[in-house]
Amino acid sequence: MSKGMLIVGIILLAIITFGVVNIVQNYQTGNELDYYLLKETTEAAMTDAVDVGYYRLSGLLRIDKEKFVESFVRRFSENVSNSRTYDIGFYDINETPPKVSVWVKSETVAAIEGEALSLSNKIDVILESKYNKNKYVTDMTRSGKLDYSEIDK
Amino acid sequence: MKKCKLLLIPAIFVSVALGILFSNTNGVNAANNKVCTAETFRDKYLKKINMEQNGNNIVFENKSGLNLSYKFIADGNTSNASTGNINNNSNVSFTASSGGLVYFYLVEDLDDGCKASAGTEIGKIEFNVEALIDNPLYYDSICVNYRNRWSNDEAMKNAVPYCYSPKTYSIYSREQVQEWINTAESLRNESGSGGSDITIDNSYKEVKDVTKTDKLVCDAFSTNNYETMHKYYHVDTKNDGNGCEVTCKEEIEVNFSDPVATQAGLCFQYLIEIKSKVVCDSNYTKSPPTRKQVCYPTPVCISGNSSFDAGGPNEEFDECIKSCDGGKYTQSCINSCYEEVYVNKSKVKKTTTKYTKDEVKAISPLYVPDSTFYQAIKTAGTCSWNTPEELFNLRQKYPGGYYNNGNWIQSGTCPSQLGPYYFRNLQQTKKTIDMLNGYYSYSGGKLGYYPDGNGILRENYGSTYCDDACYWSGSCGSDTVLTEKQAQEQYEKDVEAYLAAKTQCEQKTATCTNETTDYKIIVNNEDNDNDSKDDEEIFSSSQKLNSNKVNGNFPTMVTLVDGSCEDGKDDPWHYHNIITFPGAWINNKTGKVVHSMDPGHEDFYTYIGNQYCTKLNSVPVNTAWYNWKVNQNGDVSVLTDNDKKEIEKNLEMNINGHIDNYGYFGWNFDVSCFYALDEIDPYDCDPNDPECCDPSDPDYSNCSRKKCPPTDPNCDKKKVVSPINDYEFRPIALDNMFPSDKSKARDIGFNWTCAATNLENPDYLIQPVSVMNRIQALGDSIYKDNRYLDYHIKLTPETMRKVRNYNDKYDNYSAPTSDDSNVVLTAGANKTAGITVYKSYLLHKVLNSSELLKSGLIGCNNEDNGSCLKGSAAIDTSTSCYNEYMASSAVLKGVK
Repeated sequence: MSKGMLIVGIILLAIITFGVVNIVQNYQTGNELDYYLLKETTEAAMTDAVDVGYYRLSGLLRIDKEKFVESFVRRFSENVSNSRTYDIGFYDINETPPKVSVWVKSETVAAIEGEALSLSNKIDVILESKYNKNKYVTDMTRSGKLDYSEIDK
Repeated sequence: MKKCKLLLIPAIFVSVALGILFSNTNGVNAANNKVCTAETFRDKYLKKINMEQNGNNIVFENKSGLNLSYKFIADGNTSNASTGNINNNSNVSFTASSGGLVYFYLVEDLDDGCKASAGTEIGKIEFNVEALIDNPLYYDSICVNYRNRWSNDEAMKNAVPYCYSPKTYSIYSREQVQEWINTAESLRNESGSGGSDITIDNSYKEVKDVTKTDKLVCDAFSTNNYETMHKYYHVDTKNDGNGCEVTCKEEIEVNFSDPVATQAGLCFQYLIEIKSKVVCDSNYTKSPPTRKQVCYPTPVCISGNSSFDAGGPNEEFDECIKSCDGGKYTQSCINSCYEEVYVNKSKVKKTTTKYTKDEVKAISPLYVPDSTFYQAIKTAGTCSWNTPEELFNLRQKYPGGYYNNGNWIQSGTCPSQLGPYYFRNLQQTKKTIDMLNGYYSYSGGKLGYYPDGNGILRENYGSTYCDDACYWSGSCGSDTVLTEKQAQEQYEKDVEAYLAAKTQCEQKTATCTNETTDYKIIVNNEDNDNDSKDDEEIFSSSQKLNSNKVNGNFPTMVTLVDGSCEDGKDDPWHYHNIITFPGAWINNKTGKVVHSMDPGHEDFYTYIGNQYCTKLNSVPVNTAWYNWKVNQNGDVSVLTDNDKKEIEKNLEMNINGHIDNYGYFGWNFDVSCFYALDEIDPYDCDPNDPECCDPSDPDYSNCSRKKCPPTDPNCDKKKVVSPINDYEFRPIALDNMFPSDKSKARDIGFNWTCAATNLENPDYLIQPVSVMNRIQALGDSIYKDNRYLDYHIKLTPETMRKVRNYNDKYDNYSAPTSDDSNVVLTAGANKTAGITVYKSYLLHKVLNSSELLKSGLIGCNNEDNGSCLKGSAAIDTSTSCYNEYMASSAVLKGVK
């Protein structure tokens, strides 16, 4: 075997190795699907979605579901690789009191015989007041003084 | 003989000397003892005795400078003479039915350029009232009743003097007199009326100076929100200097909200209502006009012992008559004396009058001896007359002159050579015409009379005229007129002017003003940013009070413009306004509060009405009052007087309203009140919460969140955390959201407790307990299918590229959704009342349907299988929380 053939063989072997590593990496759970990324993104999006306007009227904590979803998508898109396709489901959102459930699934770009490997993660989160009582809001609500159901109609 | 001649010369000298001596002495004596002549008495003294005739009553006023005595012979009855004294500057009156003669005598010796002894007659004045006729209405019921009604009222007497004169120059119809009476009594009733509408309501407090009213401070412990009326009134009378007196009373009421307890970031309303009612009443204070007195100075021409109202006959003729028939002026004596005095002997005195007969004819409009002159007057077309009646009417309307210092001056329309005396009634007018034409004469002469240049007739003696001493007796005051007709016309003119002025005065009762009122509300909202410049917010506007338009920086702060002066519509109040904070909109995306926005952007905002929203980082203020109001339920009974004083002493008035120049009188009001806010449950810290501790806590200085007692100077307000930011992000297990420690029950955050239930808005029901129960019941089953899938998004690499580009363009969450407002998505029809709804531009415009696979229901709190949970589906009525909420709500809503 000539030296030249040996060098060609090494190069081919390296290329094959890179390809295999890349394929294996695509099938692995990446950082983007890490639970903590999901948690941080959800927390940031929920914080963004806190409805200050509603608080001013009712004294209660509310998230706006559209704000939450938009913010989540924008933040998530910035922090994950665009080499995969993500399927994001927002389940049973409750605006007041705030609760969201997010399920993120991803698929590899490469597929073996048309079958991509699907990975997923999910999180269920609430926003909970640090204080346990708010007599002012309770009394004002029940006395009807925070009833804004007729405004802006 | 020679001796005699020698004696003759000195005798002559002596005689001459004695002659000269005696002649000089006699000359001196003659000069010093000049006797006063009749002319001197007449010109110097008699002319200064004024005579005023009113019906058959004659008043003489002595202005001669002498004290005199008199003898009065009434109606030619010499056997019934009366005597008396009339001192200088005094009056004496006489009554005679047809006429009279008054002789005047010196009371004291006179030495005033000439000499006369006491008792000397200085002259006589004759008067006659034969021109006066009985007033036919004097004893008529119309005048009798009028006199009975107004006997003591001088103004009413002057208004209809006809009813007070038994004798009159002119006769008026009953209807005419009744009209005068009606006018006089109507004016009498109307004058001085007014003021009756101004009554005082004792519930109002009087204010003398409307610019310095009481400072209105809200009652910290009031439970009568918006029902505490502050009532004031002010009365003012203005006189325009022309007799128009307008009195106005304005009652004004000011109401304002009680103090407000709130929470940092929340909004509240504060109202100041002001309304006023104005009552004005005008009073025209001038007296009704009175009818001017008619002044008829009488011409007096003295002829010997007689006097006439025209010059002639002369004194010699008078003496002739006296010797003929004893002064009775019989026609036979008149005829014989005229022949003797004027025709045969030609003894007439030369007159000083310069008129020729032709001159008199040419200038006198009265002289009508022939048709040529009469025709000339008619042709002239001015001041013409055909009959004595027309002449009488003409001179009634135009006397043709005026009196000045006893002289008749021709002037005005249709100047007259003769004084009004000669036309005082129709009978006299006819007589005057006859005298001018030579048909009537006191002397029996046929040559007629002519004006003498002073308005007095003098008899023509052929080539000369009578030069008797003639003068006008009686002077006219300034407030008199010369004829009855003038008096009437002047009276009608005065009445018309009086009524016009009165009407104009009554129209001054307008109760609306076009002044501008300024409104201002200032809120001091301290925050924790260490910058006090932005703490104070000022809302101001202004309004022209005669319109409903409000201008200024915040016109929407005036929410009610309802006074009749403002909108022109009927209203119990002339001015009625409510001042509050300007209209506020909350940005649906950012939660920012604005008081104005660009047109067309309404759907990006939620209008919350006229409210003030405190800053999210507001620091506690008036916390002691807040504690009483919120934590002690505003129960006054729990406070002692000292507690109240202590709370009031520390109150900070952070809401201040100013109303300047309001209402009819331009009232100024200052209203002061306050809002209060505190940390949430500052006295109910969780002992296990290391961030909340009491000052008594040994580790207080190390606490990151210190409880903030209202009077504690160590209180660190800057640590205050707004409730909107005071929450925890917490991943949960769906089947056990709030796991408890075995040793201690877990305290659930407020927003997940029953206390946060809000069922007031049927479109957006909030019942945390039910939500919690449902979530835990469903557990992870929500992931099994798409029933609970609200949003489903597929992010391909291409999609992510689009999103990243969108992020690059709009890198700030509060940035506009789009540069082009026309394509900006709005909540639009998806708005839900009471919710600040946002619709994402990214989701609905940037992503396509293969990327946004499913979208949730906007404005829905929670949905199930694509439907928003509402009504019984959202509320679990079986829970104790629901029952507690309903019971508590019923109680609270029943309490004001």
